[in-house]
Amino acid sequence: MNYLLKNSRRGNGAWKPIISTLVILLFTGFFYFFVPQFANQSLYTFARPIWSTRDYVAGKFTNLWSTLADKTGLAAENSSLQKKLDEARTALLDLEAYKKENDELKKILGRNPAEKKMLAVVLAKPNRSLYDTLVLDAGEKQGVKVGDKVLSGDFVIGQVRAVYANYSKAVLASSPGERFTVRIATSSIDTEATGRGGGNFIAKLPKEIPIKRGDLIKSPGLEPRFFGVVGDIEQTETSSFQFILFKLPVNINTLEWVEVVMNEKISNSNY
Amino acid sequence: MRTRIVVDILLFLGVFVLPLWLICPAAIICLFLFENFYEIIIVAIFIDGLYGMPTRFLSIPAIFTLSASIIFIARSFLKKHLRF
Repeated sequence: MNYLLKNSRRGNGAWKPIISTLVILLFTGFFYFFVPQFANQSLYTFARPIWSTRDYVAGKFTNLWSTLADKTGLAAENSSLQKKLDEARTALLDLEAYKKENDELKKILGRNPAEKKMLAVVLAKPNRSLYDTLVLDAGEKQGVKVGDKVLSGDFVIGQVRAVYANYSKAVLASSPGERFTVRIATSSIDTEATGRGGGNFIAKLPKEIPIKRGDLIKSPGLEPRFFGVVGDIEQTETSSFQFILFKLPVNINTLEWVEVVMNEKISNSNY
Repeated sequence: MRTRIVVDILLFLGVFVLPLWLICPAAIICLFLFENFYEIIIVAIFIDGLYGMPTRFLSIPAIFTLSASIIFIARSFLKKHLRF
């Protein structure tokens, strides 16, 4: 007696993976289209204790490592860092004085746009996904709105693009393909900068404009924000343009908290 | 079955804790090790839900879910022709 082998039967579950995939997608799609706030909020509520535990464990391991590390090396590093910190403090004193003077002058001239900033803890950083996004612990209840700027110090690092009850998602300004207008160094020439991922940007300018490494990149306007520091300049003999490669001075992978500027509405294309 | 449950728990925790370059290969390996590894689609849904945002570079909002679905379907057809 001949039997058909199990695997040679025609149409033996060929459609099963497709149907089951569609069922999963339809089920999830239902939640994301009809109750998106509920779906995202639940996901973040579930994620938060895990992220807190991760940060706690990571902190403990860092402390453990510093206990085990070479003491002489650490002492040398400490003294070198102390020296750099003193230099930076002195430089900051000047900067603070100029900043205060600038604010007072603007107040006298009637141009003092009050801005409300809020501290937000970074729950997830860009190295977790391809998306180059930050998950923040402040949302609608705390007054965060879509379009709010995200800052680290005086540097713009991104923009809030999705807001949930207690959480929000911000896309980094350096996310690949993000475009915005910048002013390079002390020149009054504006150009378009494009994000290249991981805190890096590129901008194109005519070769004649003098730019040097370390120049600050800012936004045009009365209340300029900074985007980065020029790291490299690419020029070729045949081209009439130069490419300015600049980057954020902060490491976005080690960010623990950021500031959200809550009263500045900005369009998607411009920071 | 017990191994699969342990792997599932590790994979789902990994979505929150580990970087993407570690999670994606691990999920694909599991796809070939276990029969009908639907969890890969759910993991991708979690990644898209947690971190996903349509940007200019990745204009498709759920790129991971879409990729995982395609890989899952492709694997089920591919596995018939593979000795794994």
